Amino acid sequence: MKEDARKKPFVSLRGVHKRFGDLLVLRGVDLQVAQGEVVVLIGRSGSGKSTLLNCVALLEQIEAGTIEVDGAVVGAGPADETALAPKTRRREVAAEIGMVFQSFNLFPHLTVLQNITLAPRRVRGVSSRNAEILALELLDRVGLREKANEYPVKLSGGQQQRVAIARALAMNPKVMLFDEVTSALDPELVGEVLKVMRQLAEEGMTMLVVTHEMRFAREVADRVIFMDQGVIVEDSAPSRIFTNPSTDEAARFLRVLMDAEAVE
Amino acid sequence: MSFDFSAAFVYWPELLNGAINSIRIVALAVVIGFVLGMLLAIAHRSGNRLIRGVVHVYVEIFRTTPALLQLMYVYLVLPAVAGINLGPITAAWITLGLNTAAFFSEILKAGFQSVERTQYNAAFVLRLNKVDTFRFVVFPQLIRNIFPPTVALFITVIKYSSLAAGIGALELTRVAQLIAVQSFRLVEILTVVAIIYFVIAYPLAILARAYEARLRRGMY
Ligand SMILES: Nc1ncnc2c1ncn2[C@@H]1O[C@H](COP(=O)(O)OP(=O)(O)OP(=O)(O)O)[C@@H](O)[C@H]1O
Ligand SMILES: [Mg+2]
Repeated sequence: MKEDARKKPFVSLRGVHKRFGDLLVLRGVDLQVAQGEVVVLIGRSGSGKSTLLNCVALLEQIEAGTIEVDGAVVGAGPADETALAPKTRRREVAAEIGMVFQSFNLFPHLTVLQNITLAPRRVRGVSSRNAEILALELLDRVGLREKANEYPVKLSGGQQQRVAIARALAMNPKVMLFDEVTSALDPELVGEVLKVMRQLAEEGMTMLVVTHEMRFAREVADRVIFMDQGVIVEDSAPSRIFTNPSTDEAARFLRVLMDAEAVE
Repeated sequence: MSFDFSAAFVYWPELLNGAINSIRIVALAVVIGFVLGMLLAIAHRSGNRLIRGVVHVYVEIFRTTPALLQLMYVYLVLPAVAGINLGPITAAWITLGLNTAAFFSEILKAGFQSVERTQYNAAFVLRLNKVDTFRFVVFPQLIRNIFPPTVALFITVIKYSSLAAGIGALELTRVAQLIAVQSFRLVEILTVVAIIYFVIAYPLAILARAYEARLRRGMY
């Protein structure tokens, strides 16, 4: 099913450069993600994984290159500004990009239900009633319907993260970005979040996932990308990268990760 | 020695007048303080280096000098230097207003900082626009964060208003002082006046406590 979809990338990064002051964090990233594809990003701390996701989410302005999503150039360096899609189209496409963070970032003053309905109501103009119906459906999907009227502080980390996923899904995104969404969780809560992500992948969501969960990468990812110092140094099927990585860097990094996982 | 609290009641018209003047000073100072404080905070947030510097100097001057001295400056120095003559009560609420603005702008500044960057990011990726982000995400959290220190500031203004006695403003403390001396009923008069201050300020303290208790229960 993914063979023909692969021809036309849904997310496409070309020569993306990003710097923070003097620090060049992304130095020419090229990456295509097909519709329905699940791509896992791995790499050492500081290699630019979060920055890459933030650029795709349009949280960061890039210095050079282009970012194309759903056929529209939504991000571009100053040199490629003319390639940018019209503003209204960019806004439309931005709403197709959902993101979930390591620290959940739920709105603490709103109930679970209000967290989920806020953006559909304000951004998509959905009626309160319909937004609530949608939110409850999504809460069912992540197994938290009974928490609809709780405040986030009353939930465990795993529950908060599942609400955060539901909140992102309420905007009906076409691509989801996950930045180490299980890293802040107690080990026993990781599984419930991964399960939701797995389900999402099975339903055909296009996903870019930064994670240290190697089992998830092995079982769910279509491709695993290894980043080092702001560039992609390896891009292969999980079966290949885990057994026979093409770079020493990746091999060393994976060995450390897998040893750690074996200890657990 | 025996106490005769009836002295306090004999002078009730004077005390009432003093209390009204105190309330006037406090009310005007609070209004000026909150409005000007908000402007200062906004200027500090959006302004350039120069504006930020001016705000900073303003705030630090009021924070680091005695309020009584500030009152004397406005009441005594301003007429001498600038030829601006203000009555003691007017001088009092203007000065306390300027003083309150400095403190309130600091409360607002801290309030903004306490809304985490990550909340803006979460709102951004949900594609909420700037106005909605402020209205639905930042503002409610800001209010929650500034509420307790703002109530504390309000109470401080009530207490500071008594400093106006130092420039002869006929507010509650000054009136009490005059009556006490005249009637030789120092203890009684001052005690009654202390109770009046307490009665005015205590509900605010209760309000702050109730709100904090509510927050502890995880509510807003
Ligand atoms: N807003 C910022 N301002 C300045 N420097 C930044 C900023 N964000 C990231 N950096 C720097 O950019 C580099 C890459 O950071 P990034 O967060 O993308 O790495 P990462 O691969 O996600 O690492 P980790 O595994 O620790 O999350 C780091 O050196 C980081 O310190
Ligand atoms: Mg990161």
